[in-house]
Amino acid sequence: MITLPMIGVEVSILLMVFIGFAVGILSGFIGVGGGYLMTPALIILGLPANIAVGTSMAWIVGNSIVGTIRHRQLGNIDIKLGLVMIAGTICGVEVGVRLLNLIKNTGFADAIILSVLIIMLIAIGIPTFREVRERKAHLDKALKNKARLPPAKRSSSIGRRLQGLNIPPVIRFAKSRLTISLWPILAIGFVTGILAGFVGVGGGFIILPSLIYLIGLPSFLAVGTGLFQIIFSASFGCIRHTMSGNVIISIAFLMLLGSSVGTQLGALITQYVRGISMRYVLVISILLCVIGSILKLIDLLLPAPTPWLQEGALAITFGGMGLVVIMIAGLFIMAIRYRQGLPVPAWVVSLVAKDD
Amino acid sequence: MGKRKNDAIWVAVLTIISCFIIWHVFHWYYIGMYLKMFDWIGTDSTYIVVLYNLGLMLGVGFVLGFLMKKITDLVGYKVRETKHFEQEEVGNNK
Repeated sequence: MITLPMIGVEVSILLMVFIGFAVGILSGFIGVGGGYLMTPALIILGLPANIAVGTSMAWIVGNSIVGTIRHRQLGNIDIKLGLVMIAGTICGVEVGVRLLNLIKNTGFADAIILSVLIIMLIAIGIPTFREVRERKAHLDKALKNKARLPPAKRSSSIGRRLQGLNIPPVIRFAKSRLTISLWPILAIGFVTGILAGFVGVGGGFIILPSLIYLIGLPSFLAVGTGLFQIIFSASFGCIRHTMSGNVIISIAFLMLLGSSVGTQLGALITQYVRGISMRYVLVISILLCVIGSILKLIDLLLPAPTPWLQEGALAITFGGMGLVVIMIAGLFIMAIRYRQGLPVPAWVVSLVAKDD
Repeated sequence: MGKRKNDAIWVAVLTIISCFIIWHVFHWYYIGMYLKMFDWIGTDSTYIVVLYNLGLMLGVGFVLGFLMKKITDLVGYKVRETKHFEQEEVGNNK
């Protein structure tokens, strides 16, 4: 156990390393910083919301570097696109941190942060879930008929409209095979930054669907580019949160020790599965996080603490993390079996079938 | 020098650096340095805490990231680049 005298809380060293490892696998696999899981987990463990937000942000800095190093080797990063987005993101983080400091002393900070997180996760999760379900049905049908798989949609209707915007400067991103106006990219970066600063997330779960559905990037290119961009937004957030006294660096360090291994595993598994698998895991992890956060929010809003709600939130957040890690490991095993010509369940084929 | 030997040296060096950083963090925790630094926030010494926190996270991220990369190189694991624009457009070619 490690005691944190600055906030009067005691936490387990091994638990911190394990949480880092589990969230790291998810982070490396789906290309998010992991703050959207880490922040509620730390709040559930008893850290005050502002400390949970700031400490998550510091951890994300180190964790996204670990993931970026591996994704660069995998060719999953469009550095030019990432750098362009950063300008918008940094302005957004500043706005987000100021908002957080405004509500810090109201007494409702925990409830407000959790509410914003829940609304954002639902808003992102539902359309992503619909798209993934439709895409899987298409892939299953094509595989059943032994036909060529339908080409991946490169963006949604809103995305096509954004890409059609002809407001100068229009930039060409060779790695992503994309030509687009600077402004939509800056806008996405700005919105992401506000959330990063306010909720303590690196913004990955906003960046990722935005890059895939609005900008039109292939899934794994979005994963690497998102992580690369998060290094900068999280660094800026880490500076601002440290200045506000929201960071306990020893906790961030312990989590980073675990996540450095987990993130590598997650990133390497992307070599074996199809992009749709990543989006499936993203949707499921968002769903689990929403349920855990809702229970915690109800507990906060009730006049007296309710033990079963606290235990439920704890079980869903940590059980969910374990479940997602098992899912990723399961997908990896199925992909290996499929490549070796061993039998795999029919519904898995569309998730793991991939070119060599 | 062979690539494998080169990788082994890198792994050894990065492991030593990682162990040193781990020792440093625990040492500073036990002597109460982090508590002292927490009290510096809001004073003229805030910038030291900011630089330390950011530097530690960036440094540890780089060291551990490269250590993991070099370990996979050392064990001979081959990392292939992802084919982004063919992945979902080509049929089942098991």
